[in-house]
Amino acid sequence: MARIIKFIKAYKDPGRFLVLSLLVFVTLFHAILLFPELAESSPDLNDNVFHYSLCVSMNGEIETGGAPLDHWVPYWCAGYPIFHYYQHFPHLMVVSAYQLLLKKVSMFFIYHLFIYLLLVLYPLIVYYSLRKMRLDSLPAAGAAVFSLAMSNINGYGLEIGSFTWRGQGLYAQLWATFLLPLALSSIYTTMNENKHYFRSVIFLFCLTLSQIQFGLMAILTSFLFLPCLKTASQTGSIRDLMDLDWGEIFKKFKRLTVILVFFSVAVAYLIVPMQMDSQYYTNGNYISPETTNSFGARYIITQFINGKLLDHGRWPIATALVIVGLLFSLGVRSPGNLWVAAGFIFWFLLYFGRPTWGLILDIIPFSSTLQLLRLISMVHFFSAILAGIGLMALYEKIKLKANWIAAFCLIILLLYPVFRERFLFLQLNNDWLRSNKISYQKEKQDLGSMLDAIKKAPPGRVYPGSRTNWGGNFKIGQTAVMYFLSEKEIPDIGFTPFSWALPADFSLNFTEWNPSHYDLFNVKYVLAEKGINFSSFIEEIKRYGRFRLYSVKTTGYFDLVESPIALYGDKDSIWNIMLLWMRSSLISKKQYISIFFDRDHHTGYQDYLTLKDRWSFWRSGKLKRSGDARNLFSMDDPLRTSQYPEATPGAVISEIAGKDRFSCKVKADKDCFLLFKMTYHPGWHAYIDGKEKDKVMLSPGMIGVKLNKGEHSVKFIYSAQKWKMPLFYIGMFSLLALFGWERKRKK
Amino acid sequence: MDNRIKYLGYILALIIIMMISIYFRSRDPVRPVYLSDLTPKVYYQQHGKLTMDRSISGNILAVNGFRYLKGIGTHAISSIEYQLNGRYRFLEGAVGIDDVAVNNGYKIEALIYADEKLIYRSGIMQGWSNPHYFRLNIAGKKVIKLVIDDGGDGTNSDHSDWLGIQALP
Repeated sequence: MARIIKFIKAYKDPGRFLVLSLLVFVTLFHAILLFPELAESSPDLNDNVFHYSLCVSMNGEIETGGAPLDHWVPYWCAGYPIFHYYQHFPHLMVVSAYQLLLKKVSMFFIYHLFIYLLLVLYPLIVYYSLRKMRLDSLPAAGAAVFSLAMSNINGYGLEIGSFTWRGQGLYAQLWATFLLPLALSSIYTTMNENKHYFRSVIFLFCLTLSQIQFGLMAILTSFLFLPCLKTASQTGSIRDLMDLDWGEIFKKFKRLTVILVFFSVAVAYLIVPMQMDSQYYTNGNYISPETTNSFGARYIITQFINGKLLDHGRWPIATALVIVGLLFSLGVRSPGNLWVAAGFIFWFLLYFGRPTWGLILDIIPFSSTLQLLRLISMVHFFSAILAGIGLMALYEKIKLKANWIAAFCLIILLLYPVFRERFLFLQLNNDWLRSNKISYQKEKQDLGSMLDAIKKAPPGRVYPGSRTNWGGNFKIGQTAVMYFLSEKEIPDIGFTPFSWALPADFSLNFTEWNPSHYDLFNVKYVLAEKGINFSSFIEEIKRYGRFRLYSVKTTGYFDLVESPIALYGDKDSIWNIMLLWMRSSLISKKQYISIFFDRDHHTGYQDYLTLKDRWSFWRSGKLKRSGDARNLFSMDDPLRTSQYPEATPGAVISEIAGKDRFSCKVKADKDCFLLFKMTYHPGWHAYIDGKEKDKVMLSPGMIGVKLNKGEHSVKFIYSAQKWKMPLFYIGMFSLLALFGWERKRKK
Repeated sequence: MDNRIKYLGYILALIIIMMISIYFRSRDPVRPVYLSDLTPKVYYQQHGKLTMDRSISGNILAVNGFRYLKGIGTHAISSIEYQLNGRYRFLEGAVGIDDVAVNNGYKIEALIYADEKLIYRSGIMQGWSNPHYFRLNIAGKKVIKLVIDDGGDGTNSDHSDWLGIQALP
């Protein structure tokens, strides 16, 4: 003990020793306790399945010369061009590393290595970034210690559970979490010191490509740096807000504008195509309102006071330290403290969401597509800094009143309950993933053989149950069997990791005893375990251990159908009427609804419906609409199903299915529609007998094309949005130009 | 200028803006209102807690898969009274058995009274049936009472939802 004290005293300032100790401790804590995540290779069971499958898909595109940044991903919800709307940087990093290592290391390992490294290094990145933002080393080290130590009852925050095996698997958010402090500190430096423009733009660019919402949150946070920066006239206290140096603020605003202009040009290739096709991106009917709107002031304040926002499952140490840190930041004259306090207050208030702020939030760009629940990340980010400030304020106080040994003891005392709870969380995580791996090893061969058999069989989707029926308990260890399919590039109906595709919600209403639903989604195979009884149209093919593989007869990815009803609406209003259609006899009669988001009058239909909202509609078409709209439930049969007979328009002769190319030969006995059982999206192009034809959206959000009587050869090809690549090159050129300008400026 | 005077100025300006907005809001004509945004004058419910914009189990209001963000979650036997003071002409909405209880096979019946006079009777409802829609004339009616009865088979599993129910001018 005496030797340790002597060693510490060797440092002129015990504070330096404390900083070093805290950083070493937090790094080792995560490095050791997270190591099983890397070493065990246990099958995932959360969003990691989705992200890893995206890496596999992107890698396939690279290897086949496709479009890694905008391609068709067929695995879930009747397919969707996920990267057309979704950030791709985190997946690109895995695939690049995999290719750079000449495919010698498994992609699964690389994926988990990134998770491990990002988590282990994150506290150090927080420390580095805060130091760059002029925070003293002690509070910066305190913030680093708390950077992953938060524990929130609702999840999705900057906490270890958001990223670990037993948690939510928010891989893209992990990259964004890692890049957030780097981006903020770089922007802070640029605004203050008029340098490092290129670096700021690059960090913000990568952050946005990791998670768009984080990019937006970083930009909003940057505006807080304007009034809170130290100027010549400021002393750092809150009273100085009344005496702002407007000249200085204007200079900083100009620098921020330069960053944002170059950033906007660079990121346009993601945002512009996404916005242009936003009507084919839905928030989903099954997303809880709290996810998109947040919880409201009363709930959040109550949870904060109860400690469930920052200290769920333990003593509210972090909550108390945040309050201390906030009071200290507001009262003490320190240049680094004010923006931290402002940031916490701003994000805490914004996290109240729509129940409190209502339409005011619409001022924020893209706010309608944001998940306000995730604003907890910014609350956690600033809470960690405030907790660090609070911790070190207490340390300094005790050091002054007693001595540094007492102050050290106080820190250990305060951190112990926090890290004990985190330790238990990770210990359980590691126990579970080990036992999951053992279970997987036992059945790996059976599962592998079955999945291989499906891959070799004629193409079709697989139904492994859904999360709300037996599929939720159809597991290997703790991993549901449905999670293994997409990783093997097998399309399925059952696991719906996102809700953006128009038919996604309808796939959740897939009824396993209705043969029409199998046909609608081309579900050719059913995976189940022994003991589950199915209808007679589902035939068992083969047994693999306890697994059973069944087949169902469908018309394949194509079918010939009729469409007597034209429906005018939008992505939000079509839900209820589509659900009525899916439950009606029209689906088995092959009578589909043509859905139009435009305002043109389309001819050739027997019935025209125009939706006013989800609940009511006008009959006779929008051009002639008159009187009050009728409520869907005010009549027994709003679709007039009985007046349509069973359609027999012809047959599909043959089909060839690929990932983003499908073709078929059909024989139409009369004029009809060819149904292509894939999510409707403008990126699909239909070629009938070699000529491109207009598509139409058929219920419940699939692709159709009009066919004349006769035999036809049909091809569907998905291609990336035409603006994507030109905008990408313009963006890259602008980054190069900025780099060149800054180099020249330095010289 | 003295900082305190500046502070005072800001606070005064804020108060004036708030008073103006309250004044204009109070002059607004009658607008549609969801009953779930109002406080019932009085209510009785035999089981669970009356819940606004959620079913009594805390889920989104859903009847046969049709989901509503606004409405009232309740349970038979219940009676919910709203004092509308004759300001509205129509009462519109739907009613049904919440999806959490559809498999249990129990029945309910919904009734609506205006100033103690029965103006709507849904008939017996069971799970797996679409919401029952209504649009009722309530012009001049002061008190609206929403009743969920047990359908004659007791109150077991009678989770019921008043869906998107609103008073219209």
